Amino acid sequence: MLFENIFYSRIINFLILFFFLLFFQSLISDWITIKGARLDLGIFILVYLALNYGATEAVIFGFIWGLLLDVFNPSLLGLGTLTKVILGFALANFKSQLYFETSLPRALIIFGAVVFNELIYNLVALNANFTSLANIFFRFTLPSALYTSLVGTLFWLWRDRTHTLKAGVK
Amino acid sequence: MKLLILKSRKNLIFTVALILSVALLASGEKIKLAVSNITLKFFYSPFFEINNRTQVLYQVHEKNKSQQDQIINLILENSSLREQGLENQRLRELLGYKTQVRYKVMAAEVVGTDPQRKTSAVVINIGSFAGVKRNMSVVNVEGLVGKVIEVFPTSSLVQLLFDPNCQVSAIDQRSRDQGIIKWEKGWELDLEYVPATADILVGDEIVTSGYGGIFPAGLKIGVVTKVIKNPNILFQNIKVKPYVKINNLEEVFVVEQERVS
Repeated sequence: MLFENIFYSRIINFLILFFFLLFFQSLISDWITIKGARLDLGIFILVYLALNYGATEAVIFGFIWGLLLDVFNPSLLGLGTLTKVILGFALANFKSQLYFETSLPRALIIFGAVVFNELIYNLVALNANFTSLANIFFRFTLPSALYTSLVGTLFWLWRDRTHTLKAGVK
Repeated sequence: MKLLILKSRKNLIFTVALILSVALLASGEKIKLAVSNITLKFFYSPFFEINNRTQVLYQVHEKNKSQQDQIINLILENSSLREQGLENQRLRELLGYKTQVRYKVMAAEVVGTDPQRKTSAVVINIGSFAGVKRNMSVVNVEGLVGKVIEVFPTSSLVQLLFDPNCQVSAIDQRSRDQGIIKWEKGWELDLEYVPATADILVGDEIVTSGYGGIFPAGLKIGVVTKVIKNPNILFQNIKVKPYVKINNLEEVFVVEQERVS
């Protein structure tokens, strides 16, 4: 019974998370994009899940979120899921070797995750055309990675503080 | 043992996700399109619908705002025009104007010349059946042609500017000095009875003044080509080159003046 409750609560949490992400992707994302720098909320959540929960959650999330993003470019359907699944699994497996208790390592991890995801995707999408890849990297990938890592780190800080406050009250 | 199962479960999920991803990537275009369509329809369509409606609402809001601006401008313009109209009416009343003139034009074709009058008159193909009356002025796109002097049921005789009996009350459009346009000889007209003190210059445009009651005001007649001032003579000698090419008359318009109170 307890197992069932935990299982269902996880499913419900996942559904709420995806609903929020779809809402964000469809309605908010364009509004908060600053000159090509896009907030990659999906990657941030993937990193957060991988480091705070585990590989299972990260892989499932990465697969579903990758699929939901891939539908906008059907010819490359599966590529987004592949990069996110690998990213989630790798981060979850190597988290014991990562130090992410302070803001700077967290920012670097988020930054690296966005860059990895974008680089692999664009490398395949552009048929390894390095000139275009470099152009996209400097115009979109780098600003997006910086933007996401900044927002992600701030969110993480806020989350840590609320947790500390709750622990203090208890 | 438990840890091993958990670890293998994690690996199993990863392997399945990896295989599915590669399978999707390697699948045909049809499958990819079908999966994309289903996913878009099922997951994104409600959000797209919200997005579309929000955008439509926003556009309507913006349009409404700009239209309100336009309405306000039009209201202001309308009230200003009303004021001007009332002012115009008051001024007309003060000046004793009791009527306003409206114009109606009837298209006609030149079908012949009067054999007796040679080039000073032409015959047009509309007459009393079409509503043509004597003394109606005749114009074409270039300017004043002449006036109707005889009306038949289906044709009319038009006296041209190049008729010694045709006199047109005219005005210099720039200086507003008045005179009478007459023809005596050659291909140019004379602007007569213009005082020696009047300010008429070569190149000034001469138009009908409307004072004679036959020709409406403002019809183009021609351009001043020569001005001779003689201190011993009361009036200036002014030559006007007409805009209308009398030899090429084909289509003309008969102008009916309608006086309304």
